[in-house]
Amino acid sequence: MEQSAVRTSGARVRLRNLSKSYGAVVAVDGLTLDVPAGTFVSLLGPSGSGKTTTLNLIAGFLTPDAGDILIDERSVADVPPHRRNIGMVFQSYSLFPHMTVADNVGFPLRMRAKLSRDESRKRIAEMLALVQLSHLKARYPRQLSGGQQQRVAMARALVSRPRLLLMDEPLGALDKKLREQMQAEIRNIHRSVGTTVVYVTHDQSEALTMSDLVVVMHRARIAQIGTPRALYEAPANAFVADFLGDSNLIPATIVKTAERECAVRIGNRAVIAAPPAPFAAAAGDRAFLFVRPEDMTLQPASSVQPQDRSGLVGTVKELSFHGDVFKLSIAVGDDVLKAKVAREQCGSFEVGRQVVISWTPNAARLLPATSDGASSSESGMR
Amino acid sequence: MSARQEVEEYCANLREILAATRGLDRRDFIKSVGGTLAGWTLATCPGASAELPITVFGFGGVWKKAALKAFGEPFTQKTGINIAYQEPYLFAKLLAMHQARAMQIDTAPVQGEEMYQAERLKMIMPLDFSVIDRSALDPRQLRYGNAVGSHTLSYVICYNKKNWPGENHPASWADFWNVEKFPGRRALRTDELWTVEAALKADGVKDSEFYPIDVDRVFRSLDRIKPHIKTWWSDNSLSQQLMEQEEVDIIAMMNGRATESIRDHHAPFEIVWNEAICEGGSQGWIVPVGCPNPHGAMKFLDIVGRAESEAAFARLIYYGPQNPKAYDLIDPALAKLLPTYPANEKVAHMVDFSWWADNLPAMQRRFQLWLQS
Amino acid sequence: MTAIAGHTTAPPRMAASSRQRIIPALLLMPCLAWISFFFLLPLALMCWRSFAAKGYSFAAYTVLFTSPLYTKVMLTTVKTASIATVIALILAYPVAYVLTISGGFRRALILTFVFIPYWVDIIVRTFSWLILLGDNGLINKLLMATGIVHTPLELLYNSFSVLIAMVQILLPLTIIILFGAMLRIDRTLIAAAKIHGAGSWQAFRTVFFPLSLPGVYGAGLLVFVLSLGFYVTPALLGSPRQTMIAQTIMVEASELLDWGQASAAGLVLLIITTLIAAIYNRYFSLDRLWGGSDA
Repeated sequence: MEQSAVRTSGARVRLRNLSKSYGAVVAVDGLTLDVPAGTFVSLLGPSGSGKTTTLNLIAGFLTPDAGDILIDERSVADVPPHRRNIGMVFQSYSLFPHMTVADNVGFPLRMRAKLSRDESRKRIAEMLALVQLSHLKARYPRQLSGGQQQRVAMARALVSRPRLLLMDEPLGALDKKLREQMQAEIRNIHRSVGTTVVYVTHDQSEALTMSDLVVVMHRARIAQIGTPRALYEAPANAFVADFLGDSNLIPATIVKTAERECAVRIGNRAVIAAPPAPFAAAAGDRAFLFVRPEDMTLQPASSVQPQDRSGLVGTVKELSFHGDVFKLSIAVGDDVLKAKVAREQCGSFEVGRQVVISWTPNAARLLPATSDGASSSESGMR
Repeated sequence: MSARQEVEEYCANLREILAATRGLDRRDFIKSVGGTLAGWTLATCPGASAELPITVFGFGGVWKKAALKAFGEPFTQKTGINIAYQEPYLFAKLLAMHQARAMQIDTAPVQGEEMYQAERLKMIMPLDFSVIDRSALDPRQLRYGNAVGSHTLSYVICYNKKNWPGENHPASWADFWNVEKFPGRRALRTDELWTVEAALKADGVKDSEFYPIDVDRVFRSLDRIKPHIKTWWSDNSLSQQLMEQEEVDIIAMMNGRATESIRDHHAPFEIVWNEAICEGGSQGWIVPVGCPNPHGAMKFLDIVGRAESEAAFARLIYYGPQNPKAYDLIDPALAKLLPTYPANEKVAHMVDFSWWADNLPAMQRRFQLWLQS
Repeated sequence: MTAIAGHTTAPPRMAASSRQRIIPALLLMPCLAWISFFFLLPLALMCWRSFAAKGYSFAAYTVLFTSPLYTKVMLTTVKTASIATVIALILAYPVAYVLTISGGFRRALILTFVFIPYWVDIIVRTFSWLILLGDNGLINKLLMATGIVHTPLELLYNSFSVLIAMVQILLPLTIIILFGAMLRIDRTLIAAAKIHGAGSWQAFRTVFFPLSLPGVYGAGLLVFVLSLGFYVTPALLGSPRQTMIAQTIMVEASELLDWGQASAAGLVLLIITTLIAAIYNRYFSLDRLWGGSDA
């Protein structure tokens, strides 16, 4: 597959200060983004965060109020959608119901590439082989399953070898198992065709699994850009921390800042060592202390001498089984913290038991109390 | 019945509502509109009464207004009985009610061959001369025995005076048929009875030899004129439209409509009374068997035939009174425009509806086939 | 109908499921009662009368099928209705399309203009054509004033005037049916066509138009059936050659009082209409107009 005949080179896509409003509602607010050629980039965010509007602006279905879009360094402001040489997969697939699978896949070729009949037929066959649907080419879309329609949509989007592929929540309508299978397939197809992909989703695990680069969007703006791992491990603000995976965001007050370490107070109980704040902070500032549940270390309080207790002490409120792990809710004063422990360790924690919670300083991170002024309200500790 | 009458009536009613509702608040407005709407179906004449109202079945539009004014008002004044008016008159409806034994009509103006059918089907109640004052009527008004003759209309030739200003103008059905001598755009009625009678007159058949009608001769005559007919009209208001817009130069139409267009709407046309195809008093008011209020209906029949009512009706709608005494009450200038005016009646051709009563369906089918081919 | 079929074929297994079947049937009851009483019953009476009025014989039907008059009128009716339908569809299509792609205010404005004539009485509208199309009418006056013609054109009392007035009366309905059908076309399909290389015209030709055809077929049938019953328009604007079946039935019923004949003619018209609808449905599945599956 690596040296596939369908391979193309991806386009570099740059959004410059892009804005779009609907009446008083700002959908996209000054978005700037650079997508390197051949990258699989996800626009991730809750509904209403502006990710679909951004996609429609790139496609040319919407005209930006301000800013510019460059594809391969050329502004496409005056280029209508059908001349942008883009492939697109829609949320509901949007296959043409009156055409067979082969005609659907061949549509972009008929419209855009003036190929010979034989060449077209060959391209369609190649694409159908790539999505493993060669045997269904004479069927109509309504005769296909959701997953099959999804593959036809992929084939149609890629047949004319566009250098940019847009995908708008393409897996939203599929059940979980099929989704995971399709995620892998889309990744494989991306790898074999080499095109740049802009992928819109609200599903964080999908974005983390598939993308080279994730753009987290929140309230019409970019909350953070990074590789999946960077975002997960080093979120820049409470919104990103909370939106990607499970997290503990513990309200804290900075007691002391130093070059290599700082100390925070949680509630009025404990002073805890934390890594230096990645933002300008002074003693007395409010902040969130961020720790992933799986980075928590739990010990039964009975097994730790009080003088050795460096962490927080809490009471197990809830215990739930998730197959590979147990999830615990632990009440610490007024706060409730989340923790994950491996299945085999769980025997020692029961509801009502006292536990000591600790983490290595590297696992914790200080985040500003208000990330960007917009996300403060709902990104607090849960 | 007539499309344009209905249109005129809608507009008149709307104007009434607008006038009545200027500056009213909402409650008064609803009351006022309700009153006007009620008036459309239940024509209330002054003087309420405990007596059961009578239901009069008649044509709509101008005809209804004239009938309510000329017959309804004096009737309600005299008897205190109110009138409910149903429109438009259609003999088929009367017949259907009769057959269903659900007669809702107390009195109706029956015309032409319908009268013969009504007689045969025993649909008509005998006149009650203890209520109807026979001395006020002309004997000819009682020619059918059980109907009170009311008015008469004629199918007349009208020509555009702009085309023929002098003495040399179309003056007979033969002239209507003579396209060399009187070239121009022509219009006839799609109704078989009137046009068939006219065709025979045009072919020179004498009145004494007219019935039974020589059907083949009729169609030979019709064949000659057919290519020269610009349009066949089916609706009375359409005939008026043709005349008033000068869409034709010579047209045969019902006299009342022609007079209305010429006198009131200034159409530049002239009526030819010679050989007018005249109903000859075939219209009469009857009281159908099984009606809800026969006594009240007889009182109404006592009014309709009187000279004063007939004159009032003629003044409003230009149909000829069957009671000659009515002419004493009509302005001579208007009298000359009515089909029963002695000078007009003398030169008219009288239709024999007894022949038509037996032959209408067959003639109708043959005529329509001829017309449409 | 389906609710009732479902109710009779499958025996109710549980009280709850039988109730679920009865409720739709109950909801249909008022409508069914109305149709039975005011449509099916009179229809049965009409059927009975068409035989009984002629001494319990097929005499009325013999007249219908042997009389050249009826054959001719029926053919004229079908021909006129077909042409009017096709013209109405052609004229309505662009308007419906513009409505589909227009936003709130513009759509409301166009719809208002489409429906203003609809609110005017049909007789008034017909009379307006007399005034417009006559020898001394507005159109001929304009043509003569501008010197395009020297004698008035014959615009009235022929199939032209009948068709133009019929189409005008049919247009609002045609537009609204087509508009309804077009609204059901998924707009993202057009977006999909555009992003994959189709210009506006190509997207219309290859995607929107084929998908709108079921709506066109459906509107065509409804408008055609409606046109079959036209009465006032051919009577006022046509010559006797444009006589349509409704006029003939009216004459039989109200002038000749031959209700047997009128009933027979009415029934034959109903049967012919149903047949045409059935044949039509066979080729252009109408289910799609009602939003059913297009399989």
